Amino acid sequence: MDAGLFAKVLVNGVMSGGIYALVATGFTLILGVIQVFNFTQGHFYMLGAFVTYAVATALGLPYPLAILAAFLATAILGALMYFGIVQWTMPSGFFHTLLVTVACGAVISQTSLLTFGFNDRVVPAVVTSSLSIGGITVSGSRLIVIAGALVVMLALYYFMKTKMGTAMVAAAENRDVAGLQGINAKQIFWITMAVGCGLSGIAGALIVPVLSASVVMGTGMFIRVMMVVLVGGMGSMSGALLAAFIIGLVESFAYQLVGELSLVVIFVLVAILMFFRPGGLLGKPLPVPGEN
Amino acid sequence: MKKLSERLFAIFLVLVFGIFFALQLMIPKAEAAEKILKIGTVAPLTLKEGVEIKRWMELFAKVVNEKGGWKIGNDTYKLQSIVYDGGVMRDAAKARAAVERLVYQDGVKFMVSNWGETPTQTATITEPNKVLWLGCDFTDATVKPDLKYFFRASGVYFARGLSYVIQKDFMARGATTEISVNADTESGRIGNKLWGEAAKLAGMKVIPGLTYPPDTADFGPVATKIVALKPDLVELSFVTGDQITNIIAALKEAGYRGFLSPANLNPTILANTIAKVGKEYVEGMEYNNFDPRGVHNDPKVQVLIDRYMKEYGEFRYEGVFWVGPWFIFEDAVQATKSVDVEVLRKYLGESKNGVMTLGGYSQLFARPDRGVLQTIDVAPGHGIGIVKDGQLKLLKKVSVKDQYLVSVKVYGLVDTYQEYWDKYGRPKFPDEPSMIDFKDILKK
Repeated sequence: MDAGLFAKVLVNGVMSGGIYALVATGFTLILGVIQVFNFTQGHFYMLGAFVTYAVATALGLPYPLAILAAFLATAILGALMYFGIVQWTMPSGFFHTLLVTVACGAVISQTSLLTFGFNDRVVPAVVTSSLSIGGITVSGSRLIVIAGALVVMLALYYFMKTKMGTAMVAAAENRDVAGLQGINAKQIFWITMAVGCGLSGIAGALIVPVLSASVVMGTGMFIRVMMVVLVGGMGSMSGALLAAFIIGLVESFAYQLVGELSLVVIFVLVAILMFFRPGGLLGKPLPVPGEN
Repeated sequence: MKKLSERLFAIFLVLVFGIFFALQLMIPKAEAAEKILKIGTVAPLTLKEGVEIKRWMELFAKVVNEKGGWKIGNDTYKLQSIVYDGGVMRDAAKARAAVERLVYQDGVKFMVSNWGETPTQTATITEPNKVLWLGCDFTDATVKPDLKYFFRASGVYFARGLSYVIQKDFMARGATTEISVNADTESGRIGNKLWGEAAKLAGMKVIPGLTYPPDTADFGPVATKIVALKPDLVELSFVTGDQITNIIAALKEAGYRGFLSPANLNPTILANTIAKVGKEYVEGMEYNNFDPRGVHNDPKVQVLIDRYMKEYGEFRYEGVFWVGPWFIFEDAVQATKSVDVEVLRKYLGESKNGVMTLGGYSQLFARPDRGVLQTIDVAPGHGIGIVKDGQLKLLKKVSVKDQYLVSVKVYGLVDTYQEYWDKYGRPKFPDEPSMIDFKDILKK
């Protein structure tokens, strides 16, 4: 593999990793703080892409505004999902909430299909030029996605340092103790849901100029996000970030070596990792049902 | 009083018998004057293709009826097109229900056109009931000696000339190496193999085909690999829908500057692709064109195209390929002057000429490789389009001869077919320009 090809493969992997990281972080945030296995994470990624299409292409507004709109729309929808459905099923336990999110996912899927149809919607590339350094050329669009993902991750990092972010972490660690310290758990929960879903929406918004908005794009994403979460460790945000880039890079390099079997390579790696580190890279092993 | 009631009863009887008698006279007269020929079609009415098939089939019947119907012997037949929803590809239950309704309730004896693989799912209904079906199937499941009433009048088995002619075009433009790229599905892998074989025959250096997982959204890694393999021509032979846009966009991003041939291009996909990569990048792409407007010089077909526009407004191409069987059916009826299933079956099974369809000439051929010696399988009318100034333009039509001979060679069946030709004679082809001849594929 020459330097030029290596650089391209690297950029592809980092870009995929950045997008996986945003969606997986949102998923992990929701799972960690409110203990909801959000099956709709991929659907919000898809919705973010379509909102971007609507704002940037259909309405012709600037792309940064479309990103903001995608975040707000998916965050509001996430909060509504919390108030309308999730909060009522949370007392019934983990699996009830999981099933409810599966149902919400089906509703979003079918509504999107009826609204947008099977045809992809295209958002023109934000940057059409490439970056050339020392004879090595890499795609400008992909670099923009990487930069966007890094900015969002940085913003999330600072958000988690704020009072609200700290309260989220506290609630994730121990809801009862957090409550005793005056943290309003209910407020934390809906904000977590909004931020978690909004992160997926931003990921969809960032990727859509490189790919296209399609009603099925969330399915493939969700499979990869599950791999990321397993590798990173359930509920670990830093684990999700690390694992997202590992998965993105492995997938990108594996395709050059084994073609369409690249996803199999990831599955095999995850299986091996699960054998040696059942809790993932930075997480704790999940409790085995029936064991105290 | 008694006499009056007897007289009234007698008058009543006379009236009743009179009415019956009059009806007896009227009914046979009506039947002799006008018979109805029902033509059944099963199509997915939830898809554009199905809606278009229905439109065309109804239009064909309407045009024939306006001209007074078909005169067969002493009878005149008005056509009645009956189209039922047969569901989408895998919905065998719906397809069977639709065919059962056509055969058992409507008493249909002729079925023309379909979409997907309905004949495979419903042959157990149509064959025992001797329903003559000129339809479509992409598997070889319907091409076998024991299916006597199904003719694959729309299909792609003898359609390898399409890729060959496109490859020859690109060779003339300077391409020497080719790669075919498809999803990792059975049809995708077959597509890579067939396109590669055709390219070899055309004289190109063939890079082994590349596949990608069917759910791929980001084609960056695929495009990077393609660029690393340095082909002059990238063929997306079986890639459909919006994946075409995404692959082309990824190829541009990865720095690919060679020739492109997406087999299945349409105005929506082209518009999406141009929005992504710009007009210049897609200029000169060649593809499989189903829109017959522009170069069709057959007046009878042109009349139909004009009529379609008048009836339905904007021209849509989605049904063009699937209704090809109609023209073969009509030709058989006109040639035999019969609507007898067995007579038509015999004529179709000994087919010797090409028939002009919306997409160009189509012709039925035998399949000795499947043990079928009657002409059963079509070399379809295909057009090749080119992208010029951001628009789709029909460039040329692929000849039946190219479709047939290239296919025989690409499938590695020259020996089998040579034996058949030696015994039964070489087929005759329509008079149209072609790029290949028997001498090019036969062993020296």
